[in-house]
Order: sequence, then C-alpha cells, then structure tokens
Amino acid sequence: MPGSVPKPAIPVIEANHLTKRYGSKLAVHDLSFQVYGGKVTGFLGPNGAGKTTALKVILGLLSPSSGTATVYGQEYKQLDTPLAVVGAVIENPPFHPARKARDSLKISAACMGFSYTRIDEVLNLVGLYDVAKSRVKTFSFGMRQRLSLAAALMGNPPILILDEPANGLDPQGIHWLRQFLRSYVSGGNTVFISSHVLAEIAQLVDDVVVISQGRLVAQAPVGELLSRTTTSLRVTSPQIDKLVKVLEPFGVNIEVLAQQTVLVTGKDEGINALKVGQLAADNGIVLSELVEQRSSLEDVFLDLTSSLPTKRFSQ
Amino acid sequence: MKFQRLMRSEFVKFKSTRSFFVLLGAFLVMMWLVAFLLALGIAFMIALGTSVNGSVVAVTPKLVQTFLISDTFWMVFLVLFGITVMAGEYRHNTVSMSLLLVPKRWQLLITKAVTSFLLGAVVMLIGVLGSLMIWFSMGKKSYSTWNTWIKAIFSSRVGLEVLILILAAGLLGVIGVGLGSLITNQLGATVLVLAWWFIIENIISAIPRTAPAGKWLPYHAFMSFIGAGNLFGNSTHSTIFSFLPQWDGALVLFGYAVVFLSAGLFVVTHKDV
Ligand SMILES: Nc1ncnc2c1ncn2[C@@H]1O[C@H](COP(=O)(O)OP(=O)(O)OP(=O)(O)O)[C@@H](O)[C@H]1O
Ligand SMILES: [Mg+2]
Repeated sequence: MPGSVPKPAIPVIEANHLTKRYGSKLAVHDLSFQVYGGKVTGFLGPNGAGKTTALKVILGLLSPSSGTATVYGQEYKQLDTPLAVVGAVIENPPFHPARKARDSLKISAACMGFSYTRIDEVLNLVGLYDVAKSRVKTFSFGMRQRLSLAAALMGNPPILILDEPANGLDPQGIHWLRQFLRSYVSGGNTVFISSHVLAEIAQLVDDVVVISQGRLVAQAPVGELLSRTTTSLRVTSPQIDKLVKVLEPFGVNIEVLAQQTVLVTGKDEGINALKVGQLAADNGIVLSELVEQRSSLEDVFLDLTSSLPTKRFSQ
Repeated sequence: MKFQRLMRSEFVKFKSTRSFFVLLGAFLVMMWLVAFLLALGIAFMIALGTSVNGSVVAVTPKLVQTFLISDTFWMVFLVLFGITVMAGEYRHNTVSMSLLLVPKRWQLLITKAVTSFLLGAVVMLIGVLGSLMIWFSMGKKSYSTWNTWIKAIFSSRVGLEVLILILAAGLLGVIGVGLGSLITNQLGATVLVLAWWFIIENIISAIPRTAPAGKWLPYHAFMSFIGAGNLFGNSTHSTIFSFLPQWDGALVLFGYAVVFLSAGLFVVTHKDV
C-alpha cells in the first residue's frame, strides 16, 4: 500500500527464481534478489545481462517464463493505482512524438485522478517547465529521459524503479538526479536503479545486485564490494627473500615475477607502498623498485561479471 | 481502478494527437461530399421537374433513408480509427506507459472499446446532422423550415434508422479496437481492412461459389443492420446486394465486435511489450 513503509526486514521488491525466455533465448535465469526500503539499490550488469528484462517483468510488462516478481509482496498487476506505488523509468521513453510534453503527462494525471497542477510540479522538478507545450519529437534524448522521470514522479510513489535513468543526462542532470534520489530515500522511500557502469552509481547506492548473463553474481552492500578492491605492489630488491619473509605475516599474496621481483597483493587496508617502504627500511632492506597499483570498484565489477565464459552476443 | 478515470485518460489521448482528428475528419468530409453530390443530383431533377412513377421528385424522409444507406462507404474510417486507438499505441510504444498505468490489460482494452464506441457514435451523429442539413438546403422546396424538416425525418421510420446508424458506427469503432489489438502492426491492420472493405468482401459476394456467405460478412452485416435489406430487398439479382434481415444483421455485427474484441483481448494479455 502506498505510504505505509514496511519494516526493514521485509523486502519491498523481490524476485523469486525469476526466469524469462525469448523463444529459445534465456534472458533471465533463475534470478532471486531482494530490494529493501529506505535505500538505493543498484542493479548492475553488462549490456545484455538481462536488467531491462528483469525490470519489465517486475513492472508487469513482460510475463515471466517461471518464478515471481513482487512489490510489497504483490504482483505489480494487483496493485491499485500502480503508478502511485511504483514510479518507473523504462528503456526507450514511451511518449507519442506528436504529443506535447504536458499532454503526455495529462494522460497519467487523469488516470491516477490527480489535478493537472501536479504536472507543473513535476515538470518544474525535472527542468522541463519551459518546454511543456513543445511536442515530444522536438526533444533531445536527455529531455525525453527527463520527461520519463517526470512521469515516474507524478504519483509521488514510495518506490522508484529506474532503468538507466542517467542515460543521456548531462553532468548537471546526473548530479541533480543523484542528489534527488539520495534525499528521496532519506524519507524511507525505495529506489531500484539499473546501470551498466558501477562507478556511475557507486556514490549513490547503498546495496548492489549484480547480474551477468541473466544470473545473479552478487548481492551485497556497496561497502562490501569496496572492501574487495585490492592493492598490488611491484617490488624489486636484491634482498627479495628477506623482504618476502617480512611481508608474509601480513596475509598478503606474493607472486614471483622475476628473480628479484615479486607482486604483492593484498586488501586495501592491509598493504600499501608506504607500509612496505617502512618495513623495508626498518629491516635494512634495499628496494630498487616499488610501484603501487590499486584495483578500482570497476575492476571488482569486471571481475564479478566476467567469471562466466566470454560473452558473445547471439540470437 | 475507477472506470471514469480510465475514460478520461483515453479522452486525453484522443484530444492530444492529430491522427484521430485526421481520421474522423476524413470520414466526415467524405460523407458530406457524397451527401452533397447526391443532393445535387436531386436538385437537378427537381429543377427539371422530373417525375418518377408519376410523382414529382422531392426530398422525402424515404429518400433520405436511401441516401443515408448509400453513403456508407466511408465508414471504414471508423474501423481505421479503432485500429489506431490500439495499434497506434504499439507503434509509438506508448503502450508501455498505458500498461504501467493500467496493468490489468483487459481494463485498458474495454476502456478503449467503450471510448471508440462513443466517439464513433458521436461522429456519426455529427455526420448525419450535417448530411441532413445539406439535403435540406438542396431540397428547400419540399420543406419550408429546418424544424418541419427534422420533425418529418424523426417522426418517420427514418428517425429510427438514424439511431441504428449511430449504434452501428459505434460498433465499427469497437471492431477496429479488436482488430488493432489482434494485429498490433498499425499499417498492416489498416491495409488489411481497406483491402477487405473495398475489394475482398465484394469479390467473395460476387463469386458464385462463395456468394451465399457474402451477406454474413462484416460489411454486409453492417449494411444489413442499417437497413440495406429493406431498401434493396430482393429486387436485384446481384449477390453483392443480398443482405440479411435488419435484426439478424444487428446480431451478426454485434457478434463480430465481440469476437474481434475477445481475440484482441487474448493477444494483448499474452503479448510482451
Ligand atoms: N524482445 C526480445 N527478443 C529476443 N531477445 C531479447 C529481447 N529483448 C532482449 N533480448 C535479449 O535478452 C538479453 C537481455 O536483454 P536486456 O535488454 O534485458 O539486457 P540489459 O541488461 O538491459 O542490457 P543493456 O545494458 O544493454 O540495457 C539480451 O541478450 C537480449 O539480446
Ligand atoms: Mg537495458
């Protein structure tokens, strides 16, 4: 029900063994995940991973081949005035090109029983107020995306499901969207937002659901993914054996690259160039090379999503 | 969800794009153009004092009925209108937005059927009133004032025929919605209906082997319902002009509306968008 914020333990959106085939093509495979209230949850995966497919199943636009998708424990179809419960931005903004922006939103307002003043509010919010009377075909891609957002916000819903909403937005637009979504969830609302770029939404999200080739590869708080980032140090020393002995107690992974060179890899907090330099100095070890390489969140993402065989786009 | 809201939402869709006005406008223009040509012919006959079966030609309610039934070719636009109401949403992908708003798909389809019925009926009412005006102005000699003219029309059986015409027009809109849901490719559905209306159905009714089925086909059922059978009777030997009794025609046309709408409903509820 709109307005009534569920207890944190109960997922707001839930996919349960969701499978969707297009003919023989398996787009989503036995996918289960939960999205909790009061948070921004990122939905990540490379192109063709099945994000749009899964979101459309949740929104009742596609019927699942098997499994279920629920919002507040109900199918989207069972919701009364659904767009007042779940606001959605879907791929390819669904507006008639010859219709004026304001008229496009009138359709939603009329259907939900809102007064048309709400249209001006949301148009203002997304910065389209001045072009409200222009036909959608005169809009740029980013403007259409903003109109999509306006339509999603129309019903002031407690849940937002956004399929790559930042697509086509300019830097100001993206900045605004981030801030807006952060303040939106601070009041107990829920945002489920897809992206194929982790870095793009890393600062925004609390949790992430990562899929690849239709399967779940990770569901975790974003902090946990951050802690999976690693630091690697390339160290060369004439006394390399002595250095290895000194480093071993720190639980790092040591790979021999050459006779006097090793690659030391460890968790971010565990190891860094400063620390190794200090240890070497303390133990009277001469270093002839010390190079630090940090893996990024993006590397974690790539690592997660490439654990499956190399992706090929096929029918 | 409140049905009233769904209706309002559909009317907003209707009002905010030109394509619907173009279709309905085209219908009215063609209807009135033919009405004008018919009136012109009669005006000539009146001017020449032509007499048919011994009496001088005049614009009578009976003649109006004949005119109305003869001027139905363009009602195919009402079917095309219905098709656009549904298939147009698939064409522009606005169907996703509509289904986000109304995820119970049967509700969307029923609303569209009802709106198309109402709009088809209203446009037909406008069309008939316009035609009556044209015929009145061309046949002034028969009736002195618009009031006496309208009174004469609606106190005769023609009044009933006009009401039937309006109902039948609404049903054509519903059939269009059904077709547009069944064949969601707007262009495909449009071409098919035009071919059927102007060519295929006539061929079927003309070929001796298939001719007996002709009067059961949609356009013939429509013509039967609006009284073509009473008009043409069995005076002609052409099978194209053989019709069902009026109320049988009503049932058959209604049956087509139900069948197309149900089939469309099946497709729309099972189709991914
Ligand atoms: N209508 C369709 N018919 C057949 N296959 C489809 C259809 N839609 C999507 N697919 C396939 O399903 C898979 C998942 O597609 P989907 O659009 O859900 O991916 P995505 O994660 O949203 O990708 P992107 O980041 O590019 O938006 C892809 O392999 C795609 O080819
Ligand atoms: Mg996608």
